[in-house]
Amino acid sequence: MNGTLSILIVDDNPAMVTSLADVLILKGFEVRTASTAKKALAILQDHPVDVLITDVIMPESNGLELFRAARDVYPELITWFMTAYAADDLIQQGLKEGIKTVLNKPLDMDLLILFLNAIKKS
Amino acid sequence: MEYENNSTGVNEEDRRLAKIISIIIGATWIGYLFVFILGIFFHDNALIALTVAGSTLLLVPMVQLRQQKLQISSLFLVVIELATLITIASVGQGIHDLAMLGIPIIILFAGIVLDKLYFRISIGLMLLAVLWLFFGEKFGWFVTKPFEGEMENWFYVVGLIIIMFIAALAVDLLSKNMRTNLERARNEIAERKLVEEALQRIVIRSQQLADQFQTVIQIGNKINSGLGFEKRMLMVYEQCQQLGDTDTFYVATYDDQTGMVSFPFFMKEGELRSVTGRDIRDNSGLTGHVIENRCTLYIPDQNDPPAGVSVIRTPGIPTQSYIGVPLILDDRVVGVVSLQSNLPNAYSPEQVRTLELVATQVAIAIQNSQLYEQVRQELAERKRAEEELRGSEIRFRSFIEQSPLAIGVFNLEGFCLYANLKFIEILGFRGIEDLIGLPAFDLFAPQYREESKERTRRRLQGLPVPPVYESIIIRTDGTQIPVQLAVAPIQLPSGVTSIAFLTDITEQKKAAQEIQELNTSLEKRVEERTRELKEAQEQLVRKEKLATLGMLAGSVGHELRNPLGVINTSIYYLDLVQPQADKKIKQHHDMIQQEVRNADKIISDLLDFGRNINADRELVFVPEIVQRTLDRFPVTASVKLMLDFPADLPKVFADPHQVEQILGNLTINACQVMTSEDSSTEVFTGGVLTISARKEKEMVEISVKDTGPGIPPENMKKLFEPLFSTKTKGIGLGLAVSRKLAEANGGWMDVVSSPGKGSTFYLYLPVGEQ
Repeated sequence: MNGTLSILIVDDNPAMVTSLADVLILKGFEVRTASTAKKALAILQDHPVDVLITDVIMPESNGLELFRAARDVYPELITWFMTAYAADDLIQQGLKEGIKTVLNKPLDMDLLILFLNAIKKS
Repeated sequence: MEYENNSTGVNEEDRRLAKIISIIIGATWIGYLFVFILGIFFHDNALIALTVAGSTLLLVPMVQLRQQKLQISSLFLVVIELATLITIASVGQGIHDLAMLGIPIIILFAGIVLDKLYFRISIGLMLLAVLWLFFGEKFGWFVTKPFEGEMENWFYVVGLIIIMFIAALAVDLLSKNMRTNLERARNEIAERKLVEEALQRIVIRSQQLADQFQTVIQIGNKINSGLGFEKRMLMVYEQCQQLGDTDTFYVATYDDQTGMVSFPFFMKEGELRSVTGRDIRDNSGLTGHVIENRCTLYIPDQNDPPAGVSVIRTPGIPTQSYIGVPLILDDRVVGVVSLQSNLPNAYSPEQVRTLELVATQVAIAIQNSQLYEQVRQELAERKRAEEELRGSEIRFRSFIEQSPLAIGVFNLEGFCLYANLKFIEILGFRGIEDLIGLPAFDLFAPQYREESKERTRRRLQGLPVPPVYESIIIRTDGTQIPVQLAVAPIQLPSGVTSIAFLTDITEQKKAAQEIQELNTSLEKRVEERTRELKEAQEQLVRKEKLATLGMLAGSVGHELRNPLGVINTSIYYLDLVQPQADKKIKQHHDMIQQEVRNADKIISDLLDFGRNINADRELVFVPEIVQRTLDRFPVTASVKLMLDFPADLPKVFADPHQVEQILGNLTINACQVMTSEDSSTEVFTGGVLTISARKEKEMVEISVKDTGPGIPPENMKKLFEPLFSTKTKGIGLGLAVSRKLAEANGGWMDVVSSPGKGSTFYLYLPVGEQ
């Protein structure tokens, strides 16, 4: 992967999306945001991204459904769950279906940036 | 008797003789007096001299008579008479011849009165004098010249007189002797005859008496032979048969109270008959007559009964002779014994007498028989009683002997007199002989002997002794067994003794102990169970509380984490955008970040608490986890960290994240207690945190030790409970969650604390398979 690592952040909480996006932009990543899964999928159609960081529990469509839909379209897409509730069934299901990383809120920002940089390098 | 009469006769004769002699003497004196007067009258001096001399000589037979010497007296008298006669004869002339004739006449007179012998001698002498006078006169021998004649004539006269006297005396003596002998012989014969007759009578009488006595004695013997009344009477009957003709023999007994006569023995013509008794007041009869008159009734011929006796002849009983003798005892008529014969005059008075004697025996026999019967019954009674007693004694003895109770008998001094089998068995003796005579205190275990001696002492002094007590006895093999003793005093013929009932209470003791133990264990179990229940209840309450809390925590935590996440990210952003910010701003950034972490920690605990923990267990190395924990939750600068892990510490089988979470909790807590100012008494500004691990059986013990203030005892129990916290920060879920995590990993947690010195928390995790 070359150039800038593009990241899509999906969370129903706009403050969460904004604060995370601001940090990652500041850290030099290409960041897009969506407040719902539907919007996220729409973004993905127009702008392919490297990493999808999505909240799990969201109104209308949840993070797992988003992951599934996105994976169908972009099998290469790296999807991370971001959750305030680690022991959720959805997360367990996601881990079974191929989610590699679950980020617990509040996020360990240093660790997150470390991971993203590692992906960027690879 | 006859001899006695004879002797009296002799004395009588002596007296008569003495009388006669004295009369002759008297008569002679009269004669002398007469001659003396003649002599004076005729002046014949010879006659005077003769009479004086003769009278003087007469004194001799007088003296002899006085001395009761009759024979000599009479002899002297005769000699004097003769001498007088001869003198007169020799001097007789004329008147002298008359005198010569007169003297023999006096003597004759005296001789008539006197004894036959002297009478005869006197007759002889008188005849001699007459002849002398006649022939002297006729032939003139000495009448004419008595003193003038020739001397030889005097010799003739004297010699003749002496010969005649001797002849007369001899004849008299001879005849007297012969007569005496003859008389004696005749007397003897007569006497012997009398004696013989008497003897014969005596012999016959004796024989009769002997026979009678023999019969009586035989009857008596038979009667007293100790046989039954009927047999005795049968023997009496047999003996009575010897008395004479006995057609009927009966013994009737009489009761003077009722007047009834009964016939216990009635033998007729050799056959025992049963004769009904009767009341003699109604029908007296001969038996009644005997009883009423209390004397023997003998009727030789009933056809001719004595006056006052009415004989009622029973038809068909041809009794002729009847003897009825009353049986009298202690002056009471007790019955009648009777002999009857079909012949008249069958019995002699002797036989009647014999029957009377027999009657006495029969009376005694009746009494004896009654007494015997009484004694026999008494003896039988006594024998039966004795047998019963013996039987009962044997029974009781065997009861006692075989009794499952141990029974011993001791005297007052405490020595063993008797012991039954069980007693011996309990004490382990071989036999009773080893036990008899042993002092009771010897049977007790040494520590109980003084007690035993004390009891014996009290018994001897008559002081009360507990009737039942427990003690320990020592068996012969040395084993000690607990026993219960019940001791009671009993009065025996030999004195007061104690009977001891011994019970082996080993089993009871064991049972009691078991019950005690059971009770204790039950109490314990109940306590335990109660505690368990209480705990369970508490747990239930807690769980309920926690379930509510969990549900709340789940939603609240989720909701809080989002804003927290925003804050966290935002502050991170602010840090990033203000790298040049002044120190104060940076400090505040750090504070916010730290508090976010704390808040997140609280939320994590809340969330963990509210959910079921699934441990993702794997083999992990404890020092590694400790290191990661310390990386994540670094210790405060003022706290000195010490680590101690043995090289051979095995890996544990646990969820590494959860272990890290637990250790993180413990580390944070330790650092906080050593640096906080929460403690009311001291300000802690640092300390030593020691984290170590070691293998403990199948577990690995990880200890986190601090040097903080320690935990007050009252808080120890509540330590692991959720929502318990002494910290101003935190809601008290850390240790609760830690324990929950430890349990989810097959381990547990523990704590040891000494106030003022610090606390040590232990985490036990199972050793992984190697």
